[in-house]
Amino acid sequence: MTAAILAMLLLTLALGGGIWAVACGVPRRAPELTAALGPSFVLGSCAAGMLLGLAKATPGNGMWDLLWPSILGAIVVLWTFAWWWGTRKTARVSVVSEAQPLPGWAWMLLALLVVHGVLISDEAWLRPIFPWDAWLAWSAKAKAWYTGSQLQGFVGPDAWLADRTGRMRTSLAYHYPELLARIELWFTAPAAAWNEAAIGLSWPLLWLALLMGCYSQWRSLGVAPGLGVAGVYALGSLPLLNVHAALAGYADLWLAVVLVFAVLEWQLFLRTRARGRLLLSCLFLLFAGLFKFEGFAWGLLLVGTMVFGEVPARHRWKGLAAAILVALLLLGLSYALELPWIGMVRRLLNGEAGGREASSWWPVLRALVSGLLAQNNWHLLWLCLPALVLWRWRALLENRDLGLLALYLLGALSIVAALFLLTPAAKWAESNTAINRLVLQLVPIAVSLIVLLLRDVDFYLESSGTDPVSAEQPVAE
Amino acid sequence: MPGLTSPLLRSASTGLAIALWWLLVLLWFAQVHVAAPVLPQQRMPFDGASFTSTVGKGEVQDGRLHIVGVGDGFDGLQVRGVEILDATRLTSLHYSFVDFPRTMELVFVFRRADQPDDVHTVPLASPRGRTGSVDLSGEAEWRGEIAEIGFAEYPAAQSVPAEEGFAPFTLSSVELWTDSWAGALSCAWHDWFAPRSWALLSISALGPDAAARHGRSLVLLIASGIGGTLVLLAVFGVRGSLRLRRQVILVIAVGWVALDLLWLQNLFGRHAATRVIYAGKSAEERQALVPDSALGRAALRVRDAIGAASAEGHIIVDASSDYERARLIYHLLPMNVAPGNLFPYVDMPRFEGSLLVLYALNTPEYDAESAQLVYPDGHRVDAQMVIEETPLRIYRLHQSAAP
Repeated sequence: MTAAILAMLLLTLALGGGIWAVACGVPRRAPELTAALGPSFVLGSCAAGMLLGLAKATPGNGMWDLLWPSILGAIVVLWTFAWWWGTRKTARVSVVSEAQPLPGWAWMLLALLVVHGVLISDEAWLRPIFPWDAWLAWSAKAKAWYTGSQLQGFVGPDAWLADRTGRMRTSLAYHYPELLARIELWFTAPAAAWNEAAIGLSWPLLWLALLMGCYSQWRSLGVAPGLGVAGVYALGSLPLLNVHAALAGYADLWLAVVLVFAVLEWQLFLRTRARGRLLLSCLFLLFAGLFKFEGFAWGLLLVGTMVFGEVPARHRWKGLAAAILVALLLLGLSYALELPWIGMVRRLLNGEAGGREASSWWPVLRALVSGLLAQNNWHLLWLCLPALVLWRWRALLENRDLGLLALYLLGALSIVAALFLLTPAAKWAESNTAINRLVLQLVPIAVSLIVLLLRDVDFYLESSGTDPVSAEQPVAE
Repeated sequence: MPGLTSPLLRSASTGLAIALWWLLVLLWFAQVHVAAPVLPQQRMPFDGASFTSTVGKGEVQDGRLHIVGVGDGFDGLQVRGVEILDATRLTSLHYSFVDFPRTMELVFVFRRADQPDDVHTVPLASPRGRTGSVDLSGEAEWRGEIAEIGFAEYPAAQSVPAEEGFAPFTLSSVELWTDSWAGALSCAWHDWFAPRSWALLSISALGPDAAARHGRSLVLLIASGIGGTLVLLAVFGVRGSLRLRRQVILVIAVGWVALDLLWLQNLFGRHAATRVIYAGKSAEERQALVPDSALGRAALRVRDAIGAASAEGHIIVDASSDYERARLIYHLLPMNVAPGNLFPYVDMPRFEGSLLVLYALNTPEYDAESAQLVYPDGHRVDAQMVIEETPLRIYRLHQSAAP
């Protein structure tokens, strides 16, 4: 089983790496290869899940034998195309900086992260799928498909009642996006059994991919190695993020990862104007919508911000109008195509999805502030970010890319606040449930903003460079 | 005063101001009453041996009570009579256990003399090392004359299979203190650093996921300490913007790492309970070892009872709680199951031939004479009983004759 799981992981990386190579060029240097690892794991998992959706039969324990040749075929096609495409292009789009030595303190932070990783991985490996929505929504579908040997469709209660063939299924989460359930199928396949340990392991790997991917993308955006490691440590040490990796099963971490990768690839596109980066950003955004409904909202907002960012600053009102227009167009398209997320939004707003409106704003605000600041979820993150924005506000005005990133995060956080303050979703704020998970989806972006805001601030904490503090003149009293 | 400008004195006075600030913050977050004495004026001690094990099995030895077995519900209870005339004076509870299992949770129980039939409970954090402390001043029922106190233990409710929770442990001693700095600090310390168990809420919020939490936020304590430190450094301490920048980043980094080390200790404790239950077992064994083992057994019984018939039609599952319904459905997969709360029961006539699985539900009742399920509002549905084995009932539904 172990060998098959290792083979599956290699195939996942190779599949995702192929997509990466098509967009960014075939990695030829060690830093490029390392930079591709994190995003490749995510891209590979998502692509394998999508490919799995093409096969209607999932013959349980024999699934791995059926699947791996097709995945291998896809890998060969992707890498061949990437190599051919690379020979035709004159400019490479990979912008990873050269490897540089890390300062000593950075190694200590990395050592602490290793402790996190060991605890998280062992928890995810040992404990059967534990959290509520995992066995209500995503794992339930995967288990039904795997143990039932068929990729049956999940339909609404009326269609299920009308079906006399027994080929339809239903559940409370019948309308949820199914990509994560398919990824779970992919991870259990090599175990030749419904294996919750193998499935659980994908969450710590995702956590690792998040850290590696963010580090490489921050470095490509000009962040120094020491600051990059500090940022990775800050992100990797966040307790609620750790919990989502350790108690495997929820989609929020997957959504958080594809969303931050989409945002950082967009930032790289703004910096390099390389279309491959934009392509990757859009691909990650597409996956965001396929993990959770919120992914559509975050995607819509990001597309609007992207459009706004493409209009020259002197025409900012036209840019704003264009952004709103594009967002409305996408919204209308979703409505016309009757995409499930629109139905979910409607049910959420009119209360059909449960919940109740807040009797007053106070309990919701208290829950929001408590979740951000007082509970053990985020260390000092949500105190540091506003303080840093206040300190570095000039950088947000002077650096348009950074300003756009801050604008996007502000917009997303405003949506979270409005959702819980103004709709029946208030119930899930007061109960300390959905509110913190929604924030989790944006946390890697918040940490990225912190790191990028500090990018041009010199603390002289890196291993090289002179230390001007020692030369600083004492101030006359 | 030229002396104040000397770097050494400036550093010393800034350091002193910072230390004072942290002390003030600590006292406020630990809810220390400044007017209270440093040490308690009165202590009321109880030996472990003075408690009687009323649920489970206990053995007295060396003045302590060794708990060597649990009751039918895998729980334990130890109590003793007391004469506490004014509970509001003795609000600081200190309990000492040896080898208390990481897989169990602890509750303090008491009876008031004026309500001898009512048992009041206070969830406690497990002992850290051997001892634990809790401030009872916020408990509304802890007042007047107390006639009985005790401790109840049970497997961690949502994360531990009931049959795996128990391991022998010892109740050493218990003390009740009057208000004091030492008592308040001890209670706060225990509240911040005691081991916690995984709960279903852990995936959404850390802090509210523990029932036994009484004090103020440690994160806010550290944040307040850091905020004050930075202000003091900026106003009195560091000169030069780069030096200040460095100090700021250093103070925040130290605070962040401190919080992280505390979180790692917390995570280590939670994970240790997981290892107690699951380490050394195969993936198949671990998968079968679930906290809701009763529902797992019910699912097996459903399979036995309906056998091959399951593949032919729809199965509607309902239970007394959302958790039981959803978990039972998960255990029953790959049967073609659907949750009962997806359908209004007036739709039952449309389920011709379907099976209805009810778990821990008293309604609808089954009228064997008319072979109908009877809902509280009088609505009737034709059904044939398959099994009725409390808490599990299974019926095959037919076309309803009339409402």
